[in-house]
Amino acid sequence: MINIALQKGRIGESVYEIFESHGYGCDDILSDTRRLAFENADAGVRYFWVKPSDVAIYVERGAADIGVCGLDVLMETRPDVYELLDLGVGRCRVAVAAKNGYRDTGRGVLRVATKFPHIAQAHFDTRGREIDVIKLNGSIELAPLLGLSDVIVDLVESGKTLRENGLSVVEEIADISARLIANKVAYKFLHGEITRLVMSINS
Amino acid sequence: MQINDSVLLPSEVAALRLRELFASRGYNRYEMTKFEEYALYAANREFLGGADIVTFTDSNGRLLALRPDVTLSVAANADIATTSRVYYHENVYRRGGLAHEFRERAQCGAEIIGDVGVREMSEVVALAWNALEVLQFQAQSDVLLDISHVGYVAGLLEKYAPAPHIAARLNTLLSRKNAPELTRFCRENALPATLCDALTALCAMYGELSEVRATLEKYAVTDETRAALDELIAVTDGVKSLAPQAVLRIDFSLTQDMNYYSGIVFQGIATGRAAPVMSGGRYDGLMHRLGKPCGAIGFAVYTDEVRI
Repeated sequence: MINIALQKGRIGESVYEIFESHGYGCDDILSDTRRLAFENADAGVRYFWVKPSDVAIYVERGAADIGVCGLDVLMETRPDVYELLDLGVGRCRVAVAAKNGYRDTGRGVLRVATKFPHIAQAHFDTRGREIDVIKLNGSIELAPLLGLSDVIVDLVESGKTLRENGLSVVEEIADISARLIANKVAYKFLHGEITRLVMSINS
Repeated sequence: MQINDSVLLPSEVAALRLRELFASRGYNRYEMTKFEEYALYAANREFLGGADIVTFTDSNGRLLALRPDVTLSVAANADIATTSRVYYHENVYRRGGLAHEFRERAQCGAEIIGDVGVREMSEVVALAWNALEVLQFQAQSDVLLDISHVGYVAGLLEKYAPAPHIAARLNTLLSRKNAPELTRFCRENALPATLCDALTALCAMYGELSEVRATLEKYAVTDETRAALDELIAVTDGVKSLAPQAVLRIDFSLTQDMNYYSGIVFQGIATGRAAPVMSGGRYDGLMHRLGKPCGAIGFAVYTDEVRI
């Protein structure tokens, strides 16, 4: 039995559909919206729906054997796990954005509002730019509008939210997509099962 | 004096059984003080995986450390005129976790320092397997011993990837079995296809020597990789003759700091534990850095990880 952690929401559901199309389906999983755990003993899988940013923790700590989460979560939390596949769904970018027309003068400490303090810190470290990280949990786009920060570091999909708030991308940091990760110990004890699943999805 | 087993914790029973095992194989107990000069640890921080050390000042103003590790101390105090076999059972102290709190962990391990050849390496790896069997019995779980040779990957990287930062990145990707990113990275940096193929194959590789040998033979194209593979095969054979029941899996995602480790590295894993319960390897590099040109190999078991 492989325990699989998937993120709640649209991306998690499209990831589930990939698994299902390769014979790892589970009845009711998409219709029953309150339950968090689903099992298909015949296919040898058990799914958990968890918060996107928690997927890596479930896998690193071995509560789930494998999981699927965005590269942004891996870059931010740096879990000690195997990264076996790029599933190619949930594509977006992590980018630095600011009010239209903004230019960093390079003077003083740059205030950066973000959900991703580690990614932001690592990015500006490579340029030797000193920053003040302001950790927010949502509505990041608001920060530069209210003068809370100079720039933001956030996920950008179509850029629509940015545009509607008078912001634009200053610089891209990384291309993001959903990654299949595995717990380092579980990978070994379930080597046959996990390899079969990975090969099947990768084919 | 008889002690009723029921008053002992599983981790204590495991530790006592391990001490019994090591002593019965002719290893001598190594004891050390809790407080040690900070300088030794500060100079070899990377050996501890960059772990944070708990320090304090004694009444004479000397900076001391609560011992973060035993192997470093064994290595620093080893008399290299003869080959010595030692074991230890001590608590170590580090900072860790989200809140950066102080942590105390028990470590029980064994080391051979001096003249280390295939026979000694096989002996230590077989002993590591026997130690895992103790844990297996104590924690009623399945165990596996993963083994690798750092010389093999080092040989590949030396031949094909001259820049240190590129080699470091490739090593990280291999340790995460991240084949997709590895392919991308090789392409972006215009690295030779042979290197890319070899590393991607190593990412996917996991199994007993007989299952993975063909892959390893295929990419053993330099003297260094060839020598590493030959040594790995010799040690695996040696372990099989000492402990025929041992299950050794070859896993090249198992990497260690190459400044300290040179040669065989290994780790033990157990069902029900998300992190390894044992790790070890050959650390001639550390001995050289300490001004003691000799061989050394050993391992530590994290007995706290034993739970029923």
